[in-house]
Amino acid sequence: MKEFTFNILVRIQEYSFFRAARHTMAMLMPIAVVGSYFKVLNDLVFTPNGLIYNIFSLDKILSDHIWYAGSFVCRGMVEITFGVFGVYASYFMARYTARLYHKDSTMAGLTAVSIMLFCSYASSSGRDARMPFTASLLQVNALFIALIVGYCVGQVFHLLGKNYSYVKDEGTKVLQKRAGAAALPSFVSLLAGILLGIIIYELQLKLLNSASFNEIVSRIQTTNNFAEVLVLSVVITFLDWLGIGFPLHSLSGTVNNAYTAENLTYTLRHGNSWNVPYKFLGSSLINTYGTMGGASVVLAIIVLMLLIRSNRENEINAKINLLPATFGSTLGFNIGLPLILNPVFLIPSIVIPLINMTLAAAAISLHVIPVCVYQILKGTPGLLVSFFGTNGNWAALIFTILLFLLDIVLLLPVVIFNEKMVTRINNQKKG
Amino acid sequence: MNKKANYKWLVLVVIMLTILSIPSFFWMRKDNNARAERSKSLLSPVIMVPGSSATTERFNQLIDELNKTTFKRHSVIKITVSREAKLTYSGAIGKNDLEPLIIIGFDNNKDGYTNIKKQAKWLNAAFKSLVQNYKFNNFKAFGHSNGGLIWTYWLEHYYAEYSGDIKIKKLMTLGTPYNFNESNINNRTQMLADFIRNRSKLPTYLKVYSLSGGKNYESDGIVPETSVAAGKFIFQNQVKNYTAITVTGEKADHSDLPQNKQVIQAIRQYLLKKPERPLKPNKRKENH
Repeated sequence: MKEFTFNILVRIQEYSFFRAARHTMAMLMPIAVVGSYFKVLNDLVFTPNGLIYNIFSLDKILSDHIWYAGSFVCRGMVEITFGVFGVYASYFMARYTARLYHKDSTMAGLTAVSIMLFCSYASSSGRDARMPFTASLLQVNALFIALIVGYCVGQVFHLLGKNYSYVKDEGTKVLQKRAGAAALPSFVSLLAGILLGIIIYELQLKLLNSASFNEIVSRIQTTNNFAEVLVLSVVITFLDWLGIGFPLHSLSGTVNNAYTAENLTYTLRHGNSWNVPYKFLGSSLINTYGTMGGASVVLAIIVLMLLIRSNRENEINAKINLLPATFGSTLGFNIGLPLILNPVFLIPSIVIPLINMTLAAAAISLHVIPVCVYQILKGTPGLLVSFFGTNGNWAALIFTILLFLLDIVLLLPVVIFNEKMVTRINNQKKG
Repeated sequence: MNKKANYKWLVLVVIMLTILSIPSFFWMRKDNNARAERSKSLLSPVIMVPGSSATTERFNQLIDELNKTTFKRHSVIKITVSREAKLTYSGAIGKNDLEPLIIIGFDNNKDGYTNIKKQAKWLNAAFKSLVQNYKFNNFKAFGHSNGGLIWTYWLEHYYAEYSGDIKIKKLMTLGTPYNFNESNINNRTQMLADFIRNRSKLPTYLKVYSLSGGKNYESDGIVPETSVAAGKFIFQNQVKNYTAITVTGEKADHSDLPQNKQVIQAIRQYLLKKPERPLKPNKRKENH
């Protein structure tokens, strides 16, 4: 049975889409890591509700000048990494797809980038002269779209492109010939891209911004029905695995709505949160116990990889992402490993939050831990969210740590399985 | 690399988390206590903003009249905001006064949209300081003439910052020219257009009262009635309810309005908390 699953998963990984996606994300790992470090820095220090900014009263220590400069740099770096990640991703995705079939990969990449930018232009409804592109389509949270666009362009090159082999010292003439040879597939892809753009423009499709997932997000933020929370959690964690991070992203941090306000008011009046009106609010359960601000799956895998040490690349990856992942910035590792679109981690990424939330809900109804209602500062480490969200309840802290250890144990076979698979795929390449 | 090397990293992270969580713990306790205090507070001030060319002394007569007939005296705080957003406080909140009157005036009290934007910013500086100094979770706003414009601008641009912790319950504007001196409602000034454009930011639980004076059939002598009435385009169908009242008779011209008996009556009736009257003896018996 195990061998059977193993073979199926290896087979899936061999599909051109997954192969190209894996290569793309490996290539983009450094960009994602830089982005996640700056994001952590921004969350902790350069946001008015950041953890370090508040607990060390940086507003009194840091001069406005330095703070604004730091904030400017951090936001800028996050913007040029995660903000336009789709541009990079579509380029490399088209490139690696075309390369699988020995086509002119650079031209494919450029075509994919122009299509992405055109779609982004088409969906910017404001027609604001200063902001011709909508960011939402290009963001890392819409990575899946970028990968699909890149893959389609790559496939067009596969079908229509001429075979191309790398030439050392290209002269202008060779280059002109190369551009000419890529004209047909580029033109066809661009035409398809324009059609897509027209559809987006005419229907005013807000492709994949937070608004498209408003329905799911607002449902999970307002539901107190535990079964519904579990179902929605499956949808959201699956989308996140796919590379559509908007729904999960909009649940991180403190959610403010009538329900959380009612819980908080109750708690402030009574001095404790044992009997708040909404005990199983989806937003609170998912972020505090389900994903634990990124700790339950990502940080657990990082810890395991640091301990198992069977694969050098994974270990390095884990090491550089340890710090940002601790503070809830998991994208560097999601892309670096990758976790996104990695069939081995599909089931664990969905199931582990479900297990965590079920245990937490049970503990809440048995009055082992109080409900998490207090506001959390930005950049609060995932493992401490429940502790601070309950105004320092020790039972909640211990419960979360035990949950984290359980997650590590559950993920141990998965990580070992993954290491084996990486070895197998590498060996096949050599063989 | 030896096997211990990676434990080192994990231990480092655990140490770092522990060190970070100690100050976080105390910060959190303090912050949550302050939040609880604010949430339990019964203080509900009335914050008043005078119109252009007027100072914090503008409402003295109004306050005297108000206190003459009110069961409990309202204590008064006056804050003047300089052009550099420096605050000068005078007065104090009485010990048992749960409904103090706070008057916020500006060194630059000139007319015009650009000045109103600046004054809203200064109002915000004063409000921020009030929030830090006094624990209240709700308040009522009052604005005479341009004071109402400053409140409207503040609500649309600054209130969101506080709305989680502090609720504005009511806003009463008095002779506020929502369309400046324009008497034709079809000619919307830039300011009115902006107010209408941003109206969705006004809280839906807010109750608004717009009072106007009628010296003649067109205006209170300075502000056209249609300009005051233009407030409906901003508030109606956005806030909880919007009530327009016109006062005529003696002292119904623009600058007399704050001293007008009917206006004072309206403030008492609509803006202030209802006085808790002791139950009559026979009623008390019935309750037994």
